[in-house]
Amino acid sequence: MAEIVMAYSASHAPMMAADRESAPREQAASFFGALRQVRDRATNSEVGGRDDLR
Amino acid sequence: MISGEHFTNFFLDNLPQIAIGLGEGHQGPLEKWLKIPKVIVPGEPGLASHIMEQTVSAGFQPALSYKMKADHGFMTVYYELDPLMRLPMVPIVLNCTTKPLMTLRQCYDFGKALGDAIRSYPGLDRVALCAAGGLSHFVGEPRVGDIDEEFDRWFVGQLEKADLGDLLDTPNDELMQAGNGTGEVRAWVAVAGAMHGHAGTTLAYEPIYEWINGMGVVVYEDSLPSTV
Repeated sequence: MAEIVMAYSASHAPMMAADRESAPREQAASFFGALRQVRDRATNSEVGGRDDLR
Repeated sequence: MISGEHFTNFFLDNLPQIAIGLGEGHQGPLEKWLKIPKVIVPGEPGLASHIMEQTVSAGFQPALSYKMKADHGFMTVYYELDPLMRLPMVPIVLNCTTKPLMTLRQCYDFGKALGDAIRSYPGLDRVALCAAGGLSHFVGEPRVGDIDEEFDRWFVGQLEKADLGDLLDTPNDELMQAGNGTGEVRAWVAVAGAMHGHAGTTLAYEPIYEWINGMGVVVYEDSLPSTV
């Protein structure tokens, strides 16, 4: 059976992709840094049973 | 992956409270100005069908779509998770804007059924569950650009508890006072339901006024393998 190996919630805002540099540098670093942590955990946990994230 | 409906897939002539994407692929993002390559994100029809069947059996009535599109609500967060956009996705949209709306408790209960459905699926070993939306923001009204920092900090604080009683009792009208776009936190509450009994950990919260949005990330550490 499947296991939920990671779960998270994240805000979405169009500007985070349309103009990510428009945010104050420290705030952007904090937010994207958190998403980077999530991505690293997904990579380590081999989400989906694939190595797509590597 | 759960996000709010932005009138991308459904409109006022046909607006479900919950809809699940069963297709082999999902076109996204639709917004031309979004700096994310336009792709067909692979679907996971087997898991999607299983979620559909199991949540109906649990008493919910999600709509289904074999042609669901993934707008910025999904793609901004998905792209940060997988820049190559190869990770299969089951998109689930919630009505977060148009009354009558699901209560937070109903979203939590749907999340519990969703979590049970994923955990009973024999076709995959490892699945990630993600909510994308919120936090507080105001769209197309005089308060556009405002962010309810007090609400945001209270909300993520509530998610750090294993028991979300106070949060789940929040009336919809009170939630709307924190922003007419803030109802997207229903997706966060659904993930909390899927992870019920686990406390979340806030990795970041930033009120980014340039993006007219409270921006946060909450992760459920208990869901992670011990080796991570």
